[in-house]
Amino acid sequence: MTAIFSDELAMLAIQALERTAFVLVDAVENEEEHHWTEEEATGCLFSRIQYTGPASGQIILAGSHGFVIELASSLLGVEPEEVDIETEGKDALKELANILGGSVLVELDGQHIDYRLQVPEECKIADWPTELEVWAHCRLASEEEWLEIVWSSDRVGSEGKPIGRPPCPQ
Amino acid sequence: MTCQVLIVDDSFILRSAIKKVVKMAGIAPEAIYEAGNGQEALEQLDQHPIDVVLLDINMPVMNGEEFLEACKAMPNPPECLVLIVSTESNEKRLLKMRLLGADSVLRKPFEPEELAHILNTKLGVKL
Repeated sequence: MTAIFSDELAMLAIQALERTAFVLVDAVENEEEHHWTEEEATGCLFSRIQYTGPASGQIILAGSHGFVIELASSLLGVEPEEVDIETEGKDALKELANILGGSVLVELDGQHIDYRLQVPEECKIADWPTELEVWAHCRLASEEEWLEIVWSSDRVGSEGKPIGRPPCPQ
Repeated sequence: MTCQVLIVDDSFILRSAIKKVVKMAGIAPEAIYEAGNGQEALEQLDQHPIDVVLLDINMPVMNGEEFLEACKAMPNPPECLVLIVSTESNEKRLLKMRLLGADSVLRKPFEPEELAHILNTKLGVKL
């Protein structure tokens, strides 16, 4: 397989969140109709993991402030008010990107293809992929909190096609 | 039979998460040790009677592969079960880890039942 689709990306992220952090989320239907508010855009954190190999690509995560706190709180086993979002919150989002990156590569036949995952890193809204680069996108939600994920690659097969750019404030 | 587990991962936050899963698999908290890289893991193995090592691959200072090579080069290699816990999926790289002494692979994210099953089948530990 040379591509994954938005519903598969959502499924992988839900599985990573449930198994690693015991955080339960739902995939948001009709996410293309969602438009980020200014408050969401300024209050969220970004992380990404890139990979290289026969095809290169990346997975970028954008999580709301509350979602990142819940994620870190659950991973660390501490109360949400004890979480330092600048260190622990950002680390939690990076590790989620790392785990999700590994899962995506399995779907891309990473058992047999020599991909290399890079080190997960913090990134900015400016790193959000441009329209032609976006190949899968999903939005997950837990009550009022949310996580957006995009996967993009420099090469996909005939089963993949651009889905357009997910809403993202500039 | 009690089971002493060493978690080796450079991410503090992932060690916390794995520790939680290990506890859910039935391991007592006082039987769980941590190391941030292969070098620290060797020190922990020297100090504690570890039965199972949960080993990440990509780590600074000494990575998982170097840790296994160091264990193999010892006059008396540690007699513990080594489970690779990683996002790595490439079969060639995982085969190399097995040839160096790794016993099994748990791909992140894994569930408590998967760990409990491996401990049961490999060590006869009933959790």
